[in-house]
Amino acid sequence: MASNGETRIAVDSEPDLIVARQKGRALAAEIGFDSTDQTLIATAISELSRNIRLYAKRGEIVLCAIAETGRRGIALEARDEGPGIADVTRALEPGFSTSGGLGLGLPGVRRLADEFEVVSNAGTGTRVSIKKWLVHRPWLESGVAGSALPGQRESGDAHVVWCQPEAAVVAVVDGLGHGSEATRVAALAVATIDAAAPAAPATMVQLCHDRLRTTRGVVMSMAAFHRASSTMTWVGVGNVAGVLLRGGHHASPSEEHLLLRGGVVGAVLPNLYVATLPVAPGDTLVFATDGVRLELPSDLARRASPQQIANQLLALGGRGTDDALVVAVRFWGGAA
Amino acid sequence: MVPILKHSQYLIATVQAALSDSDLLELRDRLVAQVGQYRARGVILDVTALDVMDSFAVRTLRTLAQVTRLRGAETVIVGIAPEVAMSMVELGMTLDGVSTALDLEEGLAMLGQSLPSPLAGSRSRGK
Repeated sequence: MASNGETRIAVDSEPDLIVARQKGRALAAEIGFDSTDQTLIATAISELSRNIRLYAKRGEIVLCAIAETGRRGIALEARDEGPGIADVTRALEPGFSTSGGLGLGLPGVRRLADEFEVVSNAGTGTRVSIKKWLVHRPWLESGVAGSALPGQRESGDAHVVWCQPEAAVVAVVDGLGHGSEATRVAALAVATIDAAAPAAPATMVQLCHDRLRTTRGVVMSMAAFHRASSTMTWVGVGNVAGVLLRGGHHASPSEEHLLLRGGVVGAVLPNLYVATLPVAPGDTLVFATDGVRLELPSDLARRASPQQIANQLLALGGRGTDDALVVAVRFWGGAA
Repeated sequence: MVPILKHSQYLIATVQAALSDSDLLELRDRLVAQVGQYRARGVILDVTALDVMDSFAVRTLRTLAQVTRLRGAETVIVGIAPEVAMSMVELGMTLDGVSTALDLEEGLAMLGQSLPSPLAGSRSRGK
């Protein structure tokens, strides 16, 4: 098992409880745990450090990011040199408490842990160790939903979700007009982006522009995610709408909109407005062609998977007057 | 220190940041005292900014609700964040016997229903 260094927090006074749980939450977030797991881990640290204060007066909390083949997680240990727990089995029963507490401390902590161990000896103190593993998921999760204009067999909308361990490129392209020529031009743009990824978005738009000069052209919006720096860079030419839905409960603003520049890639390329935004685990990018209204019930973004978001937007917002395509991508991040 | 506002016959306390155990106890005692001092009929405690709800916080809020009820005031806890609520359920912690509401607005509405407002009373008498 590999470990990337320990964080030790002395638990000596009451404010140390807050420091310990805040550091635990920060480490859990860094590892990639979602906000509920971060809160569970912070709560466990709060319980364990309070036990230290109650029974041993002082001790320490040790936090550590852990990794094994194929998975990673957090290890935390509460150590003290207090009187020890006389009856460990009883201390783990819900409702048992010798300090007048609710007796939910240790049993609750055990409930949330994937691995749990208590070593306690009268006179030498107590060590409570827990591990919680991060349920594996890709660092970028995507969903796509689309439909061709009624009466047309092929859609003039196309997309790219190019994802590698360090970077990803997401693009939605709408070939001007309808039918097979629109489909062909959109496919040409997609192939150009695929071949160039993971170049800078402005570079990829320029490459598409050069490649499509003899065609009727496309409109497109594109985003590049960079995993290590947790950033997203996006750019849009024409009317493929883009919105970044913040996943955090307290995020403000709760969404950011892509600033679109009028123009046609392959015909009239405007000055590109490229913006780079920090992204947090749970943030979701949605691109939709102009056949779709990009109006999302506010709580859908957090609860639904990217595929569900794409499906729902297509179902709710399809205007039926154009080809329609929605791509939703959720950033989870975490170390590669 | 958590500020306590007096609004008609209610006390409204809004937690601004993570609270230590003694901060929580101090808040509980101050609210209980002010219920008497201002003859309050309701207490709203907004915990939106509370980072965790551990067994100590749960126990303190239950005590607060019980003690204020004995003093004639109903307590409503508002603003428990979704992730905090989720972890309370996972850890088996309940606020049994304590009223809760989504946010301040809902909390005020809840207290308004359980307490006839003196204004509404005088209006109905005037008819």
